[in-house]
Amino acid sequence: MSSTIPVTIDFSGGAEFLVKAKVQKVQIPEESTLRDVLKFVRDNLVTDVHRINMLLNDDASEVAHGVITLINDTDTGLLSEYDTVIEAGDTITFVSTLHGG
Amino acid sequence: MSDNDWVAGISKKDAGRYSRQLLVDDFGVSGQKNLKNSRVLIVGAGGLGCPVATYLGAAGVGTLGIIDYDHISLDNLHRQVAYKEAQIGHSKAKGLADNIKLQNSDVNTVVHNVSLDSSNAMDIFKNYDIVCDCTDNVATRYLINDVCVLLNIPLVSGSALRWDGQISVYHYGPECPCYRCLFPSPPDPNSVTNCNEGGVLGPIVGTIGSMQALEVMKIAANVDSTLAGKLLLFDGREGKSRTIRLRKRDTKCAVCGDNPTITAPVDYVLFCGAGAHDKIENLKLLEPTDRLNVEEYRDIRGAQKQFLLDTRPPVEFEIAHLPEAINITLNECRSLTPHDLSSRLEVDSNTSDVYVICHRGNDSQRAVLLLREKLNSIRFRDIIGGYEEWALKINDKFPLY
Repeated sequence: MSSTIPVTIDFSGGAEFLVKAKVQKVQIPEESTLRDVLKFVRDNLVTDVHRINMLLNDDASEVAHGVITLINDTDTGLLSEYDTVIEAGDTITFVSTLHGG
Repeated sequence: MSDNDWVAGISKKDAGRYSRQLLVDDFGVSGQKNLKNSRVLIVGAGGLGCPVATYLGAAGVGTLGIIDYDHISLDNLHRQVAYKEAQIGHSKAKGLADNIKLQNSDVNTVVHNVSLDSSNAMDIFKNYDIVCDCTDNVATRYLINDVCVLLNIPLVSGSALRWDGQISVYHYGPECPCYRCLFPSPPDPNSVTNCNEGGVLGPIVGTIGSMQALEVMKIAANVDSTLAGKLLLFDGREGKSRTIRLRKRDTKCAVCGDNPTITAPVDYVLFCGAGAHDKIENLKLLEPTDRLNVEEYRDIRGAQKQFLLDTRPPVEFEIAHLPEAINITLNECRSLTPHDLSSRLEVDSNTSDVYVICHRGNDSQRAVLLLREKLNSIRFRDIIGGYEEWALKINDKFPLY
């Protein structure tokens, strides 16, 4: 049986309306990449499935346009993007960008 | 002894007026002089634009340009704190410039009472050194970004919604990304919520706008450690803020990359699939036979009590609703079972008609499409224009928002 690691997943800028709680502590499989986390979020955390396209694309292979993903407050564009391997204790953040003013 | 027996870095008048910021380390006389020589453009004289303009004017910026085509309205005042009640109906750009002048007559204000678009942006922007994006829609944000890159102007970008705010500085330094580096493609227009729909608290735009003014002062004064290449997220509800490190400039970016494909402003409304404003578009999803106007509904509810389903979020329902209305949100229309819908609506097998209402008449149409699939023995019709139309045509005492 494969083991799991604890991570924190949080949602900001409006993405939190699609899930049960803004900050969630969860267990994900070891060696998961960010891409695996997207599918984990779709399958386990999103409660408002009708608006999931605000957060993820159709097959949950990428985030929706206008969403930034962070690992420990660093843009994943500075890491290995979707191939970044998640480590125990990491915080993965989904930031929806705001447009109002 | 001569009258001029000293060396002055700054005029007596300015030394007196700006003394408290001249005393600040790393700003000082040179920062003040640079600010006075700076020409700053504020795009959008709303909740963000008001504090940006007010603080920069007070701080002694040389030239302050303000772009906005809109007029001041009553529902602006809770957050657009530079405006007075007596200014309702007046031009925002001029109203804000007038107030800046009253506070600091040394500021040279320039009013651009126009709708910014691809045809006029280059001509306006070329006269400025720093631009602040204080707008409310995606299409204009891409336009401002592209024009700033094309003219090599740093862009201080703020945004806000509900309890949250975000601020960053784009295109400032060789490694700094632009808005397009982060977001090469615009969001799905259906997934964008604006202040007209989602609401926003005044102190949230006040906080972000004040921080934008501060970033402008840092850029003008050549202070390093700006928010270039960083994004500050402000969560007013939790009282938290954090600053994240953003990716570097994308060498393949369509506008600021090494081989750009965008060399002049494009059609941003087409690119984004959404208008360059934050107004609500009126949808037509239903056949005319599945809709009725507010006068028709007034007549039938006068004859007999009707079933009225109100799809608005509870916070809006709480502001005001017709007494017969039952609040079942659009999301609940999607998720509830036919049985639960019937019991919430208190309908039975004899019920033939249910009317559906919302704020402006868009969600009510979406709800009718969902409801007729679930409860096919009932005829659902939406009330055209919703409560806004009701207040306009039937009862002007109805609280509009």
